[in-house]
Formats: sequence, structure tokens, C-alpha cells
Amino acid sequence: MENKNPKTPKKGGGARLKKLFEEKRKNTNPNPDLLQILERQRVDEKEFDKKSALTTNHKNQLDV
Amino acid sequence: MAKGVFRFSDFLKVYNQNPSLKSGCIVDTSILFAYSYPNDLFNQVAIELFEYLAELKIPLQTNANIRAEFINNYFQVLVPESLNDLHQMPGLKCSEEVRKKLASNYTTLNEARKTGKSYKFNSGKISEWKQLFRKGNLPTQDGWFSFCSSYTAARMEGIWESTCNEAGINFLSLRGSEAKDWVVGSIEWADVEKIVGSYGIGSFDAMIANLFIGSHFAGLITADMDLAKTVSRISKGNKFIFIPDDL
Repeated sequence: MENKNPKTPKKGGGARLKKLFEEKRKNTNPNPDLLQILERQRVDEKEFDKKSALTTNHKNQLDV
Repeated sequence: MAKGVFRFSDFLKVYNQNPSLKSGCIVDTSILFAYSYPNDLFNQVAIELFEYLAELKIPLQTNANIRAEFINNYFQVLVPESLNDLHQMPGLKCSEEVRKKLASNYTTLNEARKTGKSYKFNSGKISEWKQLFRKGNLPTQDGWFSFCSSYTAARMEGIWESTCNEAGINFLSLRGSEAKDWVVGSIEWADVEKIVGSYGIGSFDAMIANLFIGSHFAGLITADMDLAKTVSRISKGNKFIFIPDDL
């Protein structure tokens, strides 16, 4: 509906939105779950690389 | 002054010659997003224009449909921004695969910022990160959900409401008795189909074009050149479209 007394933009609104954006950004941090997941992925990747290296070595020895 | 596309810097000139603009202008997603997102190319010019409109006490109108597009756009920029914050976290322990992708995101985001453009992830890019964060997850964990709850959840919360509050947005209802106050003629879905088909623009843009053309409002403010050109082509009578000077 078109209001008989419509709202109009507020002075300084853009600056307040910028401030809100920065405040919210400062207050975001990774939660423990995310850090744990990323750490496990790192360990899994190392394990995988180690196994791959062993398999390659073994295959090379057999080829010789 | 004839209808057409005008630059923001011409607003006062057009306004002085067309008092019909006093009753309000319709705003689309692109300009609301530019006003709300500090890293958008048109953030500063949008803020300056809205300050001007505040002084002139010109109401801004939009349709509730714009909300979905705005929220979607905001999430699409928050994901790469948040990945960048994760990348810059001191002592972050993650796989080489994640580290390389975070570094690549950092480079692309910084290049985009140098040109002033918003770096948005499309759905394919978002899926890529979903898969990456979910790799090797235990059944009780979900890396993507953990990323979102860490970074994007709090930043998304209330963003639409804050933007509408500061911009003083008024919502146009299409319900019969309420629509008669601002609709000239009728607003039909069939016209949206016609606009999409004839001018090759997206359905959100077509809805705004249809809304503007079918309303008694004389001004449309947008940072979308496609929409500006389309509306300029279709509209008749005293209709003015305002775009940033640098668009």
C-alpha cells in the first residue's frame, strides 16, 4: 500500500550501515567445530600422502 | 523534460522540472545492495544520493520480491569475504588443498577490489566449497554448516531490515484495495513474461520494470544498465530512470 505518510531515507544511514558491517565482521570467528574439521582434513591428507608415497616406492621396487 | 535515463548528478535538475518525483521513486536490488554493502563499486555514490533524497524527503518504494534477490546477493559476497577472513586467521591449520584454494580466493578477491567490483560466488563456486569443507567429515559434523555458523550467520542476520530501516523503504502491496493507491492500470504476470522474452533480462529485473511502468511513480533508481535500458525502451509518459554517473 502507498502510505499517506511514507518513510524517507535517514540522514547518515549509509555511514551507520558501514559501521554495522565492520562491527559484524570483527565479531566473527571460526567455531571449534570448524577448526577441528579443518585440522582432521590436514591429518587425513598427510596420511593419504604418506600411503601414496609408500605405494609408489613399493611399486618402483617391484618394477626394478 | 522528456523521459529517459539520467545520471545521479542530474537528479536535482530533473526533480526541479518534474514535481511528480516528490511522491517517490522505486529502487531496485542493485542500488539497495550498493547502498548496504561497503565494498560495492557504487556504495559511495549510492550513499551520497540517499543523503540527498533524505534532504529532499523523497520516499523510496520497493516490492517485497526484491528481498529474496538482495539476500541472495549478500550471501554471494559474504562467502568469499568470510573465506578471506579464515585465510588470514593466524596459525590456521588446514589441508594443503584448502590452503591453496583460500590463497586463490584471496588473490581473486583483492584483484576484484582493485577494480572496485563486488566479488560474488555463483552457485557452482559455493558447491565447490561445500564439498571441500565436507570432505572426510564425521557423521556428526558438517564442515559447511560450521563455516556458515562461524562467519555468514551473524553477518546475514537482520541485514535486510537494517538496510530498509536506514533507507526508509516503503513496500508496495499488490493486494487489490491497497494497490489502487499507486497502480495505474494493472500489473500482470503475463507482462513479466513478455518483458523477459522480449528484452532478455532476468525475472527479478522484469518484475521491477513491470512494477515501475504500472505505477504512478515517476522515478526509478538503479545501478543496473540492462534494467535502465529496458525500462527506458518500454515506458511511456513522464518516467525517469536514474543511474550512477560512472555506470
